[in-house]
Amino acid sequence: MNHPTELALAMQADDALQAHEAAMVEQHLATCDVCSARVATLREESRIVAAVLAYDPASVSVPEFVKPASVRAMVAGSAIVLLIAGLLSTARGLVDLSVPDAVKWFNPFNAGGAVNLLVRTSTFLLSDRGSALFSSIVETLGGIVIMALLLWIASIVGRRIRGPMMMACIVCAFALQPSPSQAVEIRHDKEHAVLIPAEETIDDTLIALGDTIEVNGNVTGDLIAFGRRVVIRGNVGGLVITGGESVTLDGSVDGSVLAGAESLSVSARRIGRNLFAGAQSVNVSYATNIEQNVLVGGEKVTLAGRVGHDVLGGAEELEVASTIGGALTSYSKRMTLLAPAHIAGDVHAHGVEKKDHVVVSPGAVIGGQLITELDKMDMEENRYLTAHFYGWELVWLAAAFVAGFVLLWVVPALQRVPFDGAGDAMRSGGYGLLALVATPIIAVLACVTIIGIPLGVLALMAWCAGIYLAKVVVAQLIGERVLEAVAERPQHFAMSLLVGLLIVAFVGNLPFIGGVIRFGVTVVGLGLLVLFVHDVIFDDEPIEDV
Amino acid sequence: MKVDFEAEYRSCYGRVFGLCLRLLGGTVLAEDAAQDAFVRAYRALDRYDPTQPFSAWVVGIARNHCIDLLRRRRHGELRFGDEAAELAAAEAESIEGVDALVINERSGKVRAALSALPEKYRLPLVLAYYNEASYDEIAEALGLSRNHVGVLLLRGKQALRKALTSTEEHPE
Repeated sequence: MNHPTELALAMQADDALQAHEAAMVEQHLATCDVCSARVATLREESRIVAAVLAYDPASVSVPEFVKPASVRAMVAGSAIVLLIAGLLSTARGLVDLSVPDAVKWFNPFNAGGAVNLLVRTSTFLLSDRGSALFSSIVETLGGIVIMALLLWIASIVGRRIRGPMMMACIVCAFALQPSPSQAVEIRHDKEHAVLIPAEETIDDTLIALGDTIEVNGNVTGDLIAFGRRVVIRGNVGGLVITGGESVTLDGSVDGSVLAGAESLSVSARRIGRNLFAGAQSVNVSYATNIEQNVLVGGEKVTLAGRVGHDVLGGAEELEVASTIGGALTSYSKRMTLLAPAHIAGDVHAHGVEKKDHVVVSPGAVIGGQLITELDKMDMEENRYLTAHFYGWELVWLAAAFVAGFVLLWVVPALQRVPFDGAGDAMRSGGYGLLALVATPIIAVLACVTIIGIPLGVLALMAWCAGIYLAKVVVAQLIGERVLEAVAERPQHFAMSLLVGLLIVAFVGNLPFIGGVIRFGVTVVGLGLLVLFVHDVIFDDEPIEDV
Repeated sequence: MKVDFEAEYRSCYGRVFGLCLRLLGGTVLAEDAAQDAFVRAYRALDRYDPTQPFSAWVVGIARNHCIDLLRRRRHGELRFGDEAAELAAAEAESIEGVDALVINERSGKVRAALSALPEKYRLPLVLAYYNEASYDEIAEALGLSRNHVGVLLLRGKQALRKALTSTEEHPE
């Protein structure tokens, strides 16, 4: 006797056979007890699977239904955003007018200025060879990057070794923690003075808080002092962090000094590392010897004494009579070099209003070049009102569209990158940030060896391409979602790309938040590309709970 | 006939969420997908035929949406294997082991084994036995032939039997 196949019996058990096939199987089942029993068992099996999969709807709490936004609401929302952007743009103009030119780079509303400041400060710190601050920043960042890389590798390699890898990360984290070498002594007197007499030596780190703080004795650790009036005459073995209405620093400091005050006077015999100071008025006397760098900002800054490396200063008025071992970079409205100033490197005077606002007195010596850059801010119009701005935006848009079209056409899977909401945004943002930071570091490290050079160069090229194409990927996603919401039928990917790029270009140019949005788009897009490449290479299929 | 969308939403949500959860896995993903499905239904309300049950209509939307999401997750392609190869494997497989399902029905092992099944078997099983979709509906939703659906369901159940039999032989 020819029995029906297992498939036919299984389909019969599910009542899924076509009528004529079912009739034939039925006919067989009437005469075959084995197959009848088999179909009964298969039915039971289906019943069990259905019972296991069953879900009790009563156990679900029903969230409130949020009606989708209508086209009218979206238009109204866009109009409101435009209105707010316009108002903020006007407000920014007013703030710009009221902020003194010399400290415009401090203006938090000026994204360009803030970014410029960040870049300049980073460059300055990078040139600060061997400073403790720089080393600790590098150590911390390095630690974070290494841990993130380990976690990333752990997530890629698989679940089996994730436990040991987590342990390795925790060990790394502990290893990177600076071990406290000294105890901390806290002296606090809100009403009265905190006085450390000359004969007293504090063998710990000292934290002093009070109305008046006078440190005449020596501190072997770090000194953290905040008060209305702070006077430091003793010697400090570590770092000095201080702030107050008036701060005077006369002693010797082995580490760096970080000071913020209304009036800051420094006549320390020696500062072993760097001076970072911000005050309305800063006066560094001839007696001072700063062995590394100076980063100083204020309304009026007078700098004398000796500086081992570079000086970066921003002020309404900057007077320099120091001997500087490196370069002097100034962001000041007026800059004067007084005798006996001796600057071994170049002098960059940025942001001066007129050329004659840079004065080099007779007797002042510049070893390198004097480069003067006039303040362009006053000459700049509102960029949104220039044809130049729209012209370049159009060029950017066209280039991004062409590049994006080619990319999505060549790699159609990129038209449907998986993205299911805020969770994915956070995840891809994390990967993107990691790729953004870690790739150049790894590429540079790879270039240390000869074999690594081509790999490093390739990685850098891929990194640059990724940063550019990141916007395309996000634009395509946004465009697709928007068209999905407003159009009845799925649209061609080129249309989604164009709509998305227009949206990205628009929001990326909004005042205040535009820069942040552009950064976010780059990071998320880069992350999506990284995940895409990872999925293509590893093609893993995660096991999910049903 | 006007549909009371809010009332229908409240009555169907559990079933839709359950389907999304079974198809997608994570609770958050399922909540998002269920909301999306209802939003799509709300937008397409003028195309709803009131003579058909609302729940079936919205569950159909949710099912297609979830499959679409899974496709995106796999970059546009859900892989269900070659029909002939799967069929040959199914025919070669031992027919024993159904008892293992019966024995373990209430123990939680069947659920765990179902969760661990490859997507190509799990999706048709969920659609057939949770969604109660016909072979033709599953075939249309997944872009397969009717016979291929039958083969995948059979292979899925065989994989379940195998998993449960091996846990019986090698208890933890």
